[in-house]
Amino acid sequence: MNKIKASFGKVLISLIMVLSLLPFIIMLLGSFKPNMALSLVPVDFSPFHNTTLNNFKEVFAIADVGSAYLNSIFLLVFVVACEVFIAVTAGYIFATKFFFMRRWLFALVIVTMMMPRQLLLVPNFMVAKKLNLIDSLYGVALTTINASYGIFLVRQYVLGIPYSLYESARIDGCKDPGIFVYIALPMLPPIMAAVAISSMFGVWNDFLWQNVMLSSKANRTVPLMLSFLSNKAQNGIPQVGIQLAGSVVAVLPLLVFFLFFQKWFIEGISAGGVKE
Amino acid sequence: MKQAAQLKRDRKKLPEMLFIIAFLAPWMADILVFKIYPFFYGIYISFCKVTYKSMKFIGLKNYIDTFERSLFWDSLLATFKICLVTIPLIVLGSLLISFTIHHCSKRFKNMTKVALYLPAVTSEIVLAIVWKNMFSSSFGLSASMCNILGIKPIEWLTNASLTVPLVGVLVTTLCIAQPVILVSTAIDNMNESLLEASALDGANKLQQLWHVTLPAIRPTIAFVMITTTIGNLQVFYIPFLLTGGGPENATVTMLYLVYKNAFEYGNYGLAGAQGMILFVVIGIMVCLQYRFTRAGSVD
Repeated sequence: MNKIKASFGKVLISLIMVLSLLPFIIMLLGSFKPNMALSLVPVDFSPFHNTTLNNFKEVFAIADVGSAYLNSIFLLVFVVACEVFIAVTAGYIFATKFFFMRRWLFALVIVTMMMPRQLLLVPNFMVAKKLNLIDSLYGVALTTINASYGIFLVRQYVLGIPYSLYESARIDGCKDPGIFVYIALPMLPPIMAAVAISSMFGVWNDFLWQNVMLSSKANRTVPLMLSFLSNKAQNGIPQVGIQLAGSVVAVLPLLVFFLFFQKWFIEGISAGGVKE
Repeated sequence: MKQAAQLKRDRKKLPEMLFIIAFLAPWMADILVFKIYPFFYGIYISFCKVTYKSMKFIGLKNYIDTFERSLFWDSLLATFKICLVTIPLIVLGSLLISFTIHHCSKRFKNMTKVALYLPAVTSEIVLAIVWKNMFSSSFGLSASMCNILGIKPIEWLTNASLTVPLVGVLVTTLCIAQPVILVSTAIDNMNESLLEASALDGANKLQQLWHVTLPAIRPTIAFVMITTTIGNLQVFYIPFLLTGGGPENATVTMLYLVYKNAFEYGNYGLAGAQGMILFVVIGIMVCLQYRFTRAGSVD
């Protein structure tokens, strides 16, 4: 009886899994099919015949995939590097030092961590306009940086390092900068990686803000390239094959990355949960 | 004498002060320019009439306009309707999935989490492209399925009574992974002896679930409910990319309305006011979340 129940559960979960993977299956199959194959009656789903690489050729012909990737990678590296830098410096101070208004400043970290950024969409845009950051990749990068969660993570991590390590270094005559560089910093790479991973997908997929900020063709990022492709139609017929091929081109590298590092993601989420 | 000693101690602390200031400076600069300043500027904007070139203080007019226009109330209603689908689905769904995978092997558990998490790390535009192809009534999977079955194409995207639940379900598939991971971690971390003790007292599986397991993971459930509410009050991408707010504004959510007013109609003042209203609503939810998280228990 119990065995039947268990296998019933497994079947149910497998069904849910298939449902959640369905968009990816359709995307992959459709990208290798002629344009309207998925609309035929009956649906032409077979991956063995009638496949073509034309969609991909077309994508590379009409969209500047290379420059979109370069722009997105620039944004990603710039933003993630700044976030890690800010998170390490500020997180270290919050964990090891007592100073004026520390509690209030840390409350500010928590508030900015929990307040979704989209809420300040309009004021953020107006400020960016004032500072002349519109339609510039540097502008998008600077306005995308949000290190609050990283500060929180680094602080928790540094709190776990025994304080006596710093004390003994201090007794040996090491000053604050030296303690940071020689004692703390060598222990931080794991949490730096966690900070980077936790924010990179958000930056890569941040369509809303990039769409608002960037208008010129040269500044197109991967999400913007996709949105350009998704509006493609010929004689009123949507170019589904091209859109799906573009999607594959846009998500495949990151999906592979995610599958490679999935353990980090899942552990990162459980770490941010509820207090026991 | 005492003063001199005090002075000496202060001077000794000066390098430390400089160190602290130097290390906090990057964060402070970022947050002052790109968080705090926009926040207060946003409050100011919401009291102004803003055109591309000029800005004029007009007091509460934007707020009055907001409350007088039916579109704002419609967007509130649309958001509320979508949340009515997503929040129960996400909370009950994550409980169901977590309980089901609890006794499965570690590998199967992990596979489930990864499969559910995949849509969350994928660009919403990609999903919107695929979904459009699945649910359009003129071409794509749903249309051809209906054709095979010999019925009229289901109007997923043009019939409001179907579109709103559909958007809810799609939003659910996007954000159910995190609740599943949190709930199943909570169940895994639960004290097993509680279950054994209740079994000795003669409780059956259902009684165990209701009287032991659920109360034990209640904080996690509350946390999931609050974060889900915060997230779903700002549903934007799927209506924006899939339905375009249609049919008949049935899926224009609050954040979408802010976006429309600002970037389609150029009415930044009105959009700013509506953004502020949304800010206050979500701020209240965040205060609730603060009480449940680890972050709230610092020091």
